[in-house]
Amino acid sequence: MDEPDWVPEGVDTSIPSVARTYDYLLGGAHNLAVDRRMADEMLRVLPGARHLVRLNRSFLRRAVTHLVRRGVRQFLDIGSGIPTAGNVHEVARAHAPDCRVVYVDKDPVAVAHSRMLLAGDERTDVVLADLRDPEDVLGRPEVKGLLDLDQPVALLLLLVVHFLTDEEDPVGLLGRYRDRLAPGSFLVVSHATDDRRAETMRRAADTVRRARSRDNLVYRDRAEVTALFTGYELEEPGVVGCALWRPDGAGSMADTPEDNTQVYVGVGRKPAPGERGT
Amino acid sequence: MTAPLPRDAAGLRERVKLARKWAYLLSKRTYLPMSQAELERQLLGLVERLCAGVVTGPLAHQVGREVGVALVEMNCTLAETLRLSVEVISRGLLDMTSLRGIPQRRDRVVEVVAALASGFAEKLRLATLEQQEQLGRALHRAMRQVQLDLQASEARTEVVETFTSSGVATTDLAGQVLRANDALARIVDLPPAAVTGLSLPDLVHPDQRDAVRADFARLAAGSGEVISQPRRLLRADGETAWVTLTLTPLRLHDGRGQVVVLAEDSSDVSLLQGQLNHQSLHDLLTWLPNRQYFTSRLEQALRTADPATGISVFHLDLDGFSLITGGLGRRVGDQVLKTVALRLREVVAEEVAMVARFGYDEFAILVENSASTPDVVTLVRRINDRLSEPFDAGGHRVATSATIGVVHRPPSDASPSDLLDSADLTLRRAKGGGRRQWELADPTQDGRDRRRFSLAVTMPGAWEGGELRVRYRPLARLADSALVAAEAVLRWDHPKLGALPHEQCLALAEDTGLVGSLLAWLLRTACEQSLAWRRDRGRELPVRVGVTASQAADQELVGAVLGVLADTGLPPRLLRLGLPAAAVLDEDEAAADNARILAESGVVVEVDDFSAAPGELVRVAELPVASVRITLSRGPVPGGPPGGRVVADLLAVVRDAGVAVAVDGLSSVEQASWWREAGADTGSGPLFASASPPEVIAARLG
Ligand SMILES: C[S@@+](CC[C@H](N)C(=O)[O-])C[C@H]1O[C@@H](n2cnc3c(N)ncnc32)[C@H](O)[C@@H]1O
Repeated sequence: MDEPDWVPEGVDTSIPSVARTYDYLLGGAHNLAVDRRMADEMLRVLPGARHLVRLNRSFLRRAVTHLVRRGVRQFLDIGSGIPTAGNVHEVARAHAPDCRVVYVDKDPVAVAHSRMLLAGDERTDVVLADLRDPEDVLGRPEVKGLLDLDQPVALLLLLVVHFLTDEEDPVGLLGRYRDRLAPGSFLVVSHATDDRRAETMRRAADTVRRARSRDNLVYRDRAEVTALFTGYELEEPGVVGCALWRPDGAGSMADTPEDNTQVYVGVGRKPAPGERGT
Repeated sequence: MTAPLPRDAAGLRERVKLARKWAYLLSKRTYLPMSQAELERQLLGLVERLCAGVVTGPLAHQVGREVGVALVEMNCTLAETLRLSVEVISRGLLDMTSLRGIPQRRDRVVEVVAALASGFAEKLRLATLEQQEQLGRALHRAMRQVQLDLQASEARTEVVETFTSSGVATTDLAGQVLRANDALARIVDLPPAAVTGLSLPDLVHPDQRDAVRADFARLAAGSGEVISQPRRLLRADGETAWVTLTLTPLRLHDGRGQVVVLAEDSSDVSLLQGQLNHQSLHDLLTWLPNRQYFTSRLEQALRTADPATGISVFHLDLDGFSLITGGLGRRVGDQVLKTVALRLREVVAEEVAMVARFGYDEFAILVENSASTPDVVTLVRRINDRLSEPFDAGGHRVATSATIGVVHRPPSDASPSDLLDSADLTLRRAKGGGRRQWELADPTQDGRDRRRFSLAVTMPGAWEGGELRVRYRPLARLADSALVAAEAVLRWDHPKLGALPHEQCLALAEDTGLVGSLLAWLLRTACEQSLAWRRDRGRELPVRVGVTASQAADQELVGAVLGVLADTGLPPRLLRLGLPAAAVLDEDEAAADNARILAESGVVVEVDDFSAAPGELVRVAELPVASVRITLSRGPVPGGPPGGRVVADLLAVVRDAGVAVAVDGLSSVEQASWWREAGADTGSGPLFASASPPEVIAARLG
């Protein structure tokens, strides 16, 4: 780590933060000039970036809606970012008002923001923690207080696993979450890939790196993203391009095929012991 | 009172279709947190409201704004989504058969859509500010939460940066500023470097200074509380700024204490409290700075402006404002003044500028020029273009214009009062020329600017002095080169610059507001000439006059043309009027409407600079256009470079619609015969003769 840990990330306003940059790409104004600069840089290399984030958000809505229909009432959204249009609790509650959601992010600004927005809401909570420490996340009083881990929980990891390096062993890490979740729990992942437009994507990642962001993009191919679902049964249609996961209208798609498949997504269900054949 | 919407099934179907299309386009551009069906439902609601606005005139504005606001609330925040909505909605509403019978439908659609755009923009601005403020607070909290050790980080990173409009400073426990961001400097109107080292309580209004000192004393005594109070800060310009001042104690590792100060601009709060000390420096009606304030700023700007670009001062007087207040009452007048204030601010929004109100209907603008500042001619044009857009004031449609005196790049040692005097004098001089005039006080330095200004400003004199003339170009039938009409064009025989051609004369005339009278003169001269040829040569020869795009769309055009015809007694069929294709195609239909009315009166309407783009083809077929003209030197030629079949096919489409084809700019016999074969009827250009005195044409009449 090249930054001493007493300068908390996200508070250092001289370097861009992933959360605020993402907010800008989505059309929000919770961002600073450094973030917009990085995003604009990224848009130059990858003009479809706005579509990628839009499609990801749209997938989030469809996935959460699907899970509520499947009976899920508890959500753990890690790497939740700055609250924006269509947050998990809003989508979920539109279908089932009793849903409970805990948001986790390691960016203190995103967390402070979420706290302000959700102040007074009994069925949501916000935690400043790191995805890379499952025991810490699941052991937090906010999590244990609001979510009953003996009951099925949906673990949402949208556009966050690709910030983990291979050394951090994402498959093993997700396994540690899975082992602590009750049968019938779900895992939702969206993850950028360079299976297509490899050169463009490499340059997109370079813009992030050059901006001295602390989180760097690690693309994974379809097999690697599928491996994240080890121990889960994939819901139809499996691990696919973002737009292809149960699209429900024009908003689920972009006009460029590459934009539609530049992010892999999937939803998996943890079976009860003995429930599964494989 | 809302008139009922047509409830027929066909109307509803049209609205659903529009909502669907809108939903489709929006959802391809931005994330809207709902299913497609839900989105379509919501947008249908908006479409219904927009239609109601068109049906019920008085509602148009309000409804438009509401819809604009609703869009932002739905999370349409990208500029692109506004552009797209304006496009789909205006087209959609204009196309609705169920709205066809509504009186002034077009105006109302324009009004609804304009209101939508402004509602959107305003809401977006508010939402952005709000989000930025939230972000500022989130940053502040995050900072506090992690007990950021500012002292330690100082060496490495600029932690307290210029992140929002909120001012942030770190002080010691006595209140001495250790560091501050630019926003705080802005709030107190000091150079950023000057804030560090000051005592924060000294920046507070004397009435509250002791209270703030006491706050610091409490924190120094170890109180861990966060103190938040509305406070007034002193600004260097003599005003006070209302802020919410939040003091947060900070423990450093070494045990020393500091205070993080957050100053959130809360002018809203202060407005509510009615204590804004603005009054002495601002005009209460428009909230613009007054003359006194303006003068101080001018003084400063003169000294600090970049000498390479300097400053410009515009002194404006609204034309005929007493007519507005006299005719429509003082309340309407006030509303007009507020709108003018707003619009002037918009015009210079991109510049470092101050807009002030001087007298009842007098305004002034100070622009601190930069490399990207438009030239004076452009700014003057923008000001008057913006002012002349009609708007609603107390139920009346009102448009304004201004006469303007300009002082451009005065020397930096000029005194502000001399400068304002000279601006005022120039304004008076310009007023002598009528409405919408402008004049430049003392054109200095910039040669290119000066030449254009002096050309433009000397044009009226040159016209009076007979330097402007009308010349005629023959228009010939391609089949046998017979003369079929003469086109009247302007020429300025400038004593120094030589002959300035038609287009340049018109451009200059537009700059000075002379274009209307000049065009009327051109028309009159041409009509009289046609009559003279008939009288002297016994032959009827139509005359043709081409107008500029803005003239083509001008409300006065029809009146001017018909007036000249009535005065001279020329049969309308002998007058051909050329309107630029771009104007006739324009969505706002003004030029197309003019074309229709003129054609109905018997005037021969022609479309200039035709490129046979699909839109143009459709339009030409719809409108009572007698012919279209392709100009070879300008713009694309149909079908790209002359390529036989394509051109011939396109021209065939035009001719099938009963529209003749003319080609301008022909310079060789081969060219002429090529175009004749491709289907053109008439031609003009150097091949036939350039612009010449009427006698030359007369000679060809035999
Ligand atoms: C691109 S945003 C995605 C936001 C949201 N999940 C969505 O898909 O709309 C990624 C977020 O993950 C957060 N993040 C990145 N690495 C993280 C980690 N190791 N632990 C927790 N959050 C992380 C970032 O701070 C950022 O807010």
